[in-house]
Amino acid sequence: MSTPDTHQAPAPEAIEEAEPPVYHAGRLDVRDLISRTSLIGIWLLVAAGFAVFESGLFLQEGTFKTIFGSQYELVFLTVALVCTFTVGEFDLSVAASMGLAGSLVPLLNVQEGVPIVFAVILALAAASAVGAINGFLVVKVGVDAIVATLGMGTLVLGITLWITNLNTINGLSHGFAEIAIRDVFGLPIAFFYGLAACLILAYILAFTPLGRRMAFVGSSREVARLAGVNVDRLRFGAYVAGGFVAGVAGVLLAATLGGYNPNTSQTYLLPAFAAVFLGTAVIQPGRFNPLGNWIAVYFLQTGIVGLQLAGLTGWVENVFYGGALVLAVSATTLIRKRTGK
Amino acid sequence: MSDADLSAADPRLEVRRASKTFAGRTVLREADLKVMPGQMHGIVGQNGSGKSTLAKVIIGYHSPDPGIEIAVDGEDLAMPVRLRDLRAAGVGIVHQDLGLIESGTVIENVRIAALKGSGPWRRVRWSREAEEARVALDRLGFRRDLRTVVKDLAPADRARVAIARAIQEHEPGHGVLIFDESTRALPADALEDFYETVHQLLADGTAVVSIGHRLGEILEHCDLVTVLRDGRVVAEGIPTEGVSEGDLAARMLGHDLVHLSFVEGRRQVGASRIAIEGLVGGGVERPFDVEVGHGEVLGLTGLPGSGFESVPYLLAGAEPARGTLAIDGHRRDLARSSLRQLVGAGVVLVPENRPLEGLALNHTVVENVSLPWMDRRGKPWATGRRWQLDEVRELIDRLGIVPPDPSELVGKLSGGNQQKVLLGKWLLGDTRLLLLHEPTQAVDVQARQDILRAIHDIAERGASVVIASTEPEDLVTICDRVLHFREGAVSEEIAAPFDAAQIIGATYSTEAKSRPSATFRNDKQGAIQ
Repeated sequence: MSTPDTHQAPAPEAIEEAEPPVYHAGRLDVRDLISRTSLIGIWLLVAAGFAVFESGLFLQEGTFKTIFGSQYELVFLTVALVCTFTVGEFDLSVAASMGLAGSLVPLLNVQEGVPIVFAVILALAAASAVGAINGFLVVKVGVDAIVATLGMGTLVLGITLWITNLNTINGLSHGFAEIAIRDVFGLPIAFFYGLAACLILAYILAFTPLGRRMAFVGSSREVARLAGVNVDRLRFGAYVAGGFVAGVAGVLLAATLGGYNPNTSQTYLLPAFAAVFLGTAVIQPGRFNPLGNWIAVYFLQTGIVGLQLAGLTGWVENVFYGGALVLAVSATTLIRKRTGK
Repeated sequence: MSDADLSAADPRLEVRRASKTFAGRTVLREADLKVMPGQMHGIVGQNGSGKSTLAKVIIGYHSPDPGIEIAVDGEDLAMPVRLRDLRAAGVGIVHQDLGLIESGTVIENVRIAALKGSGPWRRVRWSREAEEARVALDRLGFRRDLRTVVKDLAPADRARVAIARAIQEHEPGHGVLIFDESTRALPADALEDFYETVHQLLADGTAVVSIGHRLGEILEHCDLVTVLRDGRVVAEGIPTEGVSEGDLAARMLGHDLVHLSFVEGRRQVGASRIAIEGLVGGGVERPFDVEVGHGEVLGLTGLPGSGFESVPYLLAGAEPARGTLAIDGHRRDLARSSLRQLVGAGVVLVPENRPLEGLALNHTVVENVSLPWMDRRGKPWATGRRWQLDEVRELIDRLGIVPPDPSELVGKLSGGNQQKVLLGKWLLGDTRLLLLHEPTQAVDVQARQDILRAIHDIAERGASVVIASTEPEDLVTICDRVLHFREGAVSEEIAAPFDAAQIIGATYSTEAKSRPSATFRNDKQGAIQ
């Protein structure tokens, strides 16, 4: 291999291009664009399919409102999950945190007479505290994230059922309900909260130093640590933020329903995971991204509503969520393999 | 053993055209090896010369490139090599640091891969396993109780356990035993015992291949020696009779050194700026003191595990350390300084393990480079794209990163270009102390030149540089002074002018006899990595 010319130091190869390549913006790569937006295309196809075959039922304003006027709690749950996923962690307790916050609001306000503002603050604090305990167990003690958050989730669910005596507590005021269901352009305002939450998290991840650090902690913890990033603080913070956002989901759900049935909490966990993983197939393929989640949540909802209108009820949600989760994760894995990661 | 005569004409082990390519990089090229019964054959070479790869190809750990042939006792093995065939043919290996399970008993350690279940419940019958283990251990002169836990054994007996595991399926007088730097963990007083055992096996007709790092030991005990350099066999099976350590070192080093022209103008080494006192931690066992001047490049070298490679990580706060580090007269206690604080003080670490510690491969060049500078250069609400792009483009120019695209994923760059990104990531700020570990590992000649030049530039601008490296040519090219480590402490200072042979000599010469046995410690295994 070693030839005589290695004895002289050749001048560094002249980099013969006047114009450095443009960074991200302005570069149009059609294949890239297609891979980023394929899920949106499938979404439109699914909607078009329902529109053709069930035009009488599907093409109604009511259907549109059914799809977009619900599921904002799921959007918040996906945001909570992305907080921890981005830093390479895992949180199986978000649904239980949501249930705790959703139950505490009516419990404190209706049963204990605590003013609604304080009830909300306490509920959010409780959900954040669950996140903090998760963070302590995983980051400081070093417990495996799956074990710690699965355990905490089950524990919190149990406590929620206990303090509510397994009952749904109703009776929150209509005034309070307005924070979630006030009509804005024909949709409940909470729909826009969910969209805003996704946009804010997407901004943080894409454009701020905090987001850059989170992404590095997630993809290579040791690299981040050696670069001077306070890795443990970010991991801990992600759990607390995840708990807080899950709490917001619970408060909005309680406001919408006027109360909360604690038995329903766990049914949200799988759909949230399905949407998060499905979201990794869109916008920024292969990465957890909040806008992808948002699209995934409403893609799944479109499919479910369409199938329900076709008369398939009861079992269709599980089949659709579970099937989409498996397919999405497989698709993401294949994308990663192909991009040589 | 008379049945050894039957196959006396055939080599016990013959390897032809062994090559191994990792991700497009050939680390072993058409190596041949022939070992006769009763012979001990040494294999030497620098780090990265391919000697361990050769051993791992022979034992089936790495699957070799097509074209290789391996024959044991004249019989070709079916390719690709299967572990089962190798064991049946009698090829056994004793790993680096012996590869024993400390908390296991002697029986468990010897029999781990050979345990048999019996009866309907597939239970292990320990009495039978003990008998089997006893047969192999008896041949080696092992006298302790077989239920002794390995960590309570003397070093020589630990070696016997490891060897027994490798030869238990050999008929006496057959088989090939491979030592992959097996004596590294043995203290001097156990070595004699160890080689006595080995020579007994040799006398029976077993063949031994010894991958070694101490030249003196190889010359003393081996009949023949093969030298590898840059993945090629440069001397195949030369008799050790009359060969000196110096001869061997020269062959390992070769003569086609890369001379870098920029070194002609030597840097001015200024007044002392960095003072390290009482540094202990990781592989550094005895307090280490040194001063490094403005613009000085200090090299640290030694055998792997001798402690020199811990120094950059200790000084950067990446591993727990004791001692003080003074920068421009400002002293800090390393035990109480976090990595973040040290980064803030201008201490920069370029670690060895690029994919694990250095770079996030699924992020872009610009993202990787700007990560450490977010605090100072970015705003809390926005990273700021302009400065990142400007700085990265300048780096790409200066270091010659190919392709010159800031938004390329780091994982898609070649090893040399990744290393440039890793180095460049730390050049944006005011670096006062640059710490590097094996900065030119696994990069090609051009990239190596660019990297060394960049390090030279950093020093020229006044930074103090500490390089932990086992590449003599790099040290000669760039360092003003080299400290050689042995057993966790500095054993020799090599001041300029020096040449690569001096460094090789210091590293590979045999001083095993002078090693105090008290330094034998197994609890530090793995602490360095």
